[in-house]
Amino acid sequence: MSLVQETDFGTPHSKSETMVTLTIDGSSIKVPEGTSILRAAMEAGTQIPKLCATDMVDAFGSCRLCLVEIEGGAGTPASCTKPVMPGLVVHTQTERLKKLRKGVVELYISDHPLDCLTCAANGDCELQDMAGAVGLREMRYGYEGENHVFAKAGRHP
Amino acid sequence: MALLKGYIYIRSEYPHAVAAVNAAIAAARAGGTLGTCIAGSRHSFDLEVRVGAGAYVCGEETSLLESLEGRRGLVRAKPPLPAHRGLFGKPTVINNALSFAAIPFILANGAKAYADFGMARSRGTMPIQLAGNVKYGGLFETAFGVTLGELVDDIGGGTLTGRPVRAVQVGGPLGAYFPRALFNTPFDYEAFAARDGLIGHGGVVVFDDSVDMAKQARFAMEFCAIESCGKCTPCRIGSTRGIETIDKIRRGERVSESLALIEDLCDTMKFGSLCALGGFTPYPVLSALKHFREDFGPVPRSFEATE
Repeated sequence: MSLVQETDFGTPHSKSETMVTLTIDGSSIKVPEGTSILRAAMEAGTQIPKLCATDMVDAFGSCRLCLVEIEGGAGTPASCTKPVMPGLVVHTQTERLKKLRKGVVELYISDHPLDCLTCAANGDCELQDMAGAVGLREMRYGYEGENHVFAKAGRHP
Repeated sequence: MALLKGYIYIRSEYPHAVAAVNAAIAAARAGGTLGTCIAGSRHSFDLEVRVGAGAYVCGEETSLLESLEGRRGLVRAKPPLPAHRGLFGKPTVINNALSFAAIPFILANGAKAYADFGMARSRGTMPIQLAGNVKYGGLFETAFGVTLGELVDDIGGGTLTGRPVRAVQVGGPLGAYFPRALFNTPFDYEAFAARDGLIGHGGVVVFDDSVDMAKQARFAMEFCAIESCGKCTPCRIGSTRGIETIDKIRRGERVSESLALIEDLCDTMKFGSLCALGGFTPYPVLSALKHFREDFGPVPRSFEATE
């Protein structure tokens, strides 16, 4: 466990001086223009689950855990790559998002060694944290499937 | 006056198209309609053909831009849109050659003349590609609104083998499979979407009654696994899990659970994927399950207490 617990806001902070007001989970928040919804939510106290985002690096958008629902928009965009816009109404916790996030982490876990008890990262593992955060209880894909950890070099998927 | 530059990205699998477009560009340059001071005006524009390297995902616009830049065809997150930050970071207009090809007609004949073709919100024409097990295959350009049945039976002439048409896949490898019961669907974006299908690039692939739709559903997942750029989890891992789960169904293992799992997986891929490769793979899979369930093995009977 690292001694200093620093808050990871998810995406770099924006140097803009223009402020934008939006609503996240019912609370109004004001952040600089160019901030991502993920960071804005973190600043408001809501930790949206994330794996590939960190505030020292630009957003990549690959883990698909930080999905949110935006009123007026169909679909579930990733909050790390979506910049704030004035008047946006964002929901970070809905039944649909819960299911999607569980599904994504289930896929990650299906492709993982699952050696928690003997793993050096046990207890200090972001994947464990996310599995807990999204409430994953079972991995339904079985253990006989292809696994990138044990894949032999040169084998085609 | 800045020289605007255009690139035409053509798949490596189309050498005839590459040669034809290069010849057309050479002719245009020789005729003064490409290059500096086009037709004596102060406008400058030049075109260049760049050839792909076999990746299906490079048809996705941001992956295409990465490929044009000489990089691995990974999909970029949007925003920023290519119109703001596109090729080499510059504002870029990126469209199918199909869309650009409609412009001369519209400029010559007016917008209303173009809009007079088609129906509802699908205006203009589409070069529909009739392919697969079809008697008269090829490109057939027609206005939106023609029904799927007209395309497959009347224009396509039915199957080449002569056997009855069982399924038609519209929109490319990630399009939904339509049974004969849906042949009255007009070629229209919203009409196809209303029946859980898509128009895509207008490809129509015909299958006769010898097709194994479970195998086709498996192929959809396999295609996604092979062509995935690998960036996002739902597509990269989900496609392989999809193959394994469909195989379980076909073997008769834990069929009810596997079917429920496939539905959940398709949901995750549809809404969780970064781009339409993972996002649309559920279309062929779910349509095969919906319209051709019999190919996936017997429906498991629930065990009920009998008197």
